[in-house]
Amino acid sequence: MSRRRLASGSEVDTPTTVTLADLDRAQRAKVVGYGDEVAGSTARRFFDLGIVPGIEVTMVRRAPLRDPVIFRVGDYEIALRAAQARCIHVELVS
Amino acid sequence: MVIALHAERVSGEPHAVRWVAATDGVPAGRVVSAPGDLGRRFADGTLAAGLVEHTGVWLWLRDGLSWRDEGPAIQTALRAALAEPGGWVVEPAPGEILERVTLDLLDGSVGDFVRSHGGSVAAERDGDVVTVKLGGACEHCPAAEHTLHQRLIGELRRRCPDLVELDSRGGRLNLSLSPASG
Amino acid sequence: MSGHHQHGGGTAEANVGLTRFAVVGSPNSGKTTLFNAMTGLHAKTGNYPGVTVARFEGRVRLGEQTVVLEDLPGTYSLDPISPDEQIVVDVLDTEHHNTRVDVPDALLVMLNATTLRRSLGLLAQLLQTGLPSCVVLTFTDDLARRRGSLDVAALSRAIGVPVVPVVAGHRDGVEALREAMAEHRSWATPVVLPPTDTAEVTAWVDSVLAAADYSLPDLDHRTRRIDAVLLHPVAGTVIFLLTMFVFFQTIFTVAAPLQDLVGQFFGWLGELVAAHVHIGWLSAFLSEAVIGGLGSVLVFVPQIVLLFILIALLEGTGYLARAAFLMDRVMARAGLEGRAFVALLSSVACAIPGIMATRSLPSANDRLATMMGAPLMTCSARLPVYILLVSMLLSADQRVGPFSARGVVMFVLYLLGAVAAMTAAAFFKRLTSRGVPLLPFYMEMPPYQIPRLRTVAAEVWTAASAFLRKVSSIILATTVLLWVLLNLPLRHDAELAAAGVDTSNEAAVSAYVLDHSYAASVGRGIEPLFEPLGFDWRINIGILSSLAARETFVATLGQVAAAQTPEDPASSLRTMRVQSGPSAGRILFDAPTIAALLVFFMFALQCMSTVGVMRRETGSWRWPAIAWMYMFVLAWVLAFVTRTAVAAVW
Repeated sequence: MSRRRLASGSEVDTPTTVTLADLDRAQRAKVVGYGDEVAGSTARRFFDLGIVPGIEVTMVRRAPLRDPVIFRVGDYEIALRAAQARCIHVELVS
Repeated sequence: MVIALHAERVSGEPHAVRWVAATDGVPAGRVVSAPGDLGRRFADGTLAAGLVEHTGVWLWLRDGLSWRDEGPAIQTALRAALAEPGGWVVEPAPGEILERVTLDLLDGSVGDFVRSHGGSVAAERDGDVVTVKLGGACEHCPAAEHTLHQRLIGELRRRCPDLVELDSRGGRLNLSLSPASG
Repeated sequence: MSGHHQHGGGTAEANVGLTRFAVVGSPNSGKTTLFNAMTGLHAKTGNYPGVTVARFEGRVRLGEQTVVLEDLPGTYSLDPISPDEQIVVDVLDTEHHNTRVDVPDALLVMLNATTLRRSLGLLAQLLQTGLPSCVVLTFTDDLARRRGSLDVAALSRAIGVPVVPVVAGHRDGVEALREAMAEHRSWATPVVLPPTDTAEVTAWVDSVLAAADYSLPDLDHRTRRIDAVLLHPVAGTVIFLLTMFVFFQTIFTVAAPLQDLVGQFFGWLGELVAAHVHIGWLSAFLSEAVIGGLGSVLVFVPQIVLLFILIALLEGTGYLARAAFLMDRVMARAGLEGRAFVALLSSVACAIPGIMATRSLPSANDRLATMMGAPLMTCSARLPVYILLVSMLLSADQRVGPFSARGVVMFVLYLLGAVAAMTAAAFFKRLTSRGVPLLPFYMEMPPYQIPRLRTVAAEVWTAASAFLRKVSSIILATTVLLWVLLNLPLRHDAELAAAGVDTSNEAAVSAYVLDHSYAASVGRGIEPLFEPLGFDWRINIGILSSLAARETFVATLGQVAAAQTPEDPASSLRTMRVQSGPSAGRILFDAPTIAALLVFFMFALQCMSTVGVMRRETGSWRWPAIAWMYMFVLAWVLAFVTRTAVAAVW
């Protein structure tokens, strides 16, 4: 969360986007979109891998050296590096 | 939210396509007019007829046109039209809906089941009542009657929640849709 | 991971005129298993014209008819991201922009029932081509195991094309598919093509799955549980290292009894020849060139086959994907990725399947870079050479701490090979990636499976037959040629007497013939090139012969030793002295020379088969030529450095 100062001087929490890279173990989330920095071909590849807005994802486990990370996307498991995971925006699901 | 939609062939009718989608809010029956681009296609005759049921919309193309060519545009139009349920005008046609849905099921899973046992099954419509008859090896089998009853009714109810079963005896099922919603 | 195919020779031209089916689907959809099941082990391979992608075609008998089945590379999309995927687009391009590939007559679309949501997206793209299509639904058993459900008939109606469920290992599905293929002209087609817009396609997939009553409630619990151990940060790493340890141990200890058996067999053959063949030259030819040459190589077959089996089993269970996952971070430091580790690991058995394993890498640059490094991995062919040289360098009881000195040196050689391979691959990746955008990394983690015996057998056979082909053709030809060159020209008694040789002394005669043979002339001719490394003409012809295949070095030296000292070839090598030049009289195989030889063999590309496979996989001679040259230069320079260093300290 980041804080923003309103005209009145009080501070308010503004939601910052959560990405796949921010998920903890076993945390579930729903994909909402891709970051602006994502190249067209990469976005298309995410789509073809089933990482589409609305699909539920879960962080399954990290590699011993912290990267890559296995996610459950829909019905199957896929390993992504942090660089890719940071591009996929999600919202947490309780 | 993009409406979930797909097209299925109608056996025996190359000009018809059953568009499977949730038709929440759109009244069931024969299409008189529809909103947007879809409505225009009805108006200009591209679409010869349309029938709304609970789980989809049947559309008939005018003779001489092909679904391969017209399909994508009609799909887009249909999607837009389903998003405006209030813009549809239909006239009730419970008998026709029931008949088509029944025939569809008999053509598919329920009929496959009967045929796999060496039997045959047919449906006839008389006004608003559709009669389903077993034949062949299944004609006098009590188990078949019971199973048909369960399966067909079960499937039909999913597609037509207003299904009402009238009297049934001796290998015949008499079905109708309750009058209020057609 | 990559599937495995037979690789015979042959082109696709013989298949003109027959109906062509293309098998298309995403990786892990069971595509190659089905292809192998339908074509048996009779698939032909080649390359797609002008590109570096391998092509697999086979024939299938459907009753009276024979049809062609083409296994297209696995792809996630018709929006290609790699050369493999581009090939699929080109082959399915019904507008024929690439006239060098044939458009198939019909498609078999492999859909994995447990990844149906994602896979239907690919189907939607494939249906746009308008080619008659039949869906082959795989892993329905896994679907059932995970308490999932699917109404196949309803799915078929919803997508508008026939659907044939197939379970690996069960005949009925394949039979039903063959019947369907025979009727491909009457396959149902979708009345309206699925949408192309991404949001609409997603909605289409949702609608189809709902109509087909698709549900998949459970995870693959078995895989989840196994991964909890095998991918555990601590336990998983330990198990991985243990697996690698076992892998390398197999090279030395496990296969030993089998190797002894093979050795004994050839010994027995040799005795047979000696006892029954009385024509002198023929007896010598058979025992030295054929039995000696082949025998010294075939002794390593049990070990190589064992390694192939291990690799095939690891791949078949799905563990190699986990190995790639564990190693990805390390490989990323070299600019590569986890799957490159698998290719390099395979190269420890033999660089040929290792190079072929680079097909699993989506990035063309990764593939090339890994191929350029793979031959540096210590392959089985280097073993006979290392063993010979190390045993000359160190005695069996020399120790370094608690370890045998020989063992330590072998371990260091293996380690250096791996380091060299990684460095070379990293270098070439850097070189070829200037300005090229990096591909996003993604790797599907398939569920664990019990490897199918037929698939494992097919993979082992593919790799082993490539090795045996190398042995029976290249190695045999080279050793025979060497034998001829070492024993010609024949010398008459008069010539010998004139040179001062006692014609009754067999050893002296053969030594003279050898010293003045064609091979000797060639060996002396290239002496200037290798003299700084301490090699003389005898080592030189060994090296020349080894350019065809490393293993022949041992056989060649054996022939030289036998020719020089027929009654005691074994000790001959140790006592050989340099005959002429500035260091005449020096023991030939002294420590600096042996060290230089070891390093030379570590780096030089001495395998025509590897060159051949590189040419096939890259589509031109350019890269194999570059590989050969850079490795030769590297080998020479480092051998020189080693020699100088060892001479200074030994």
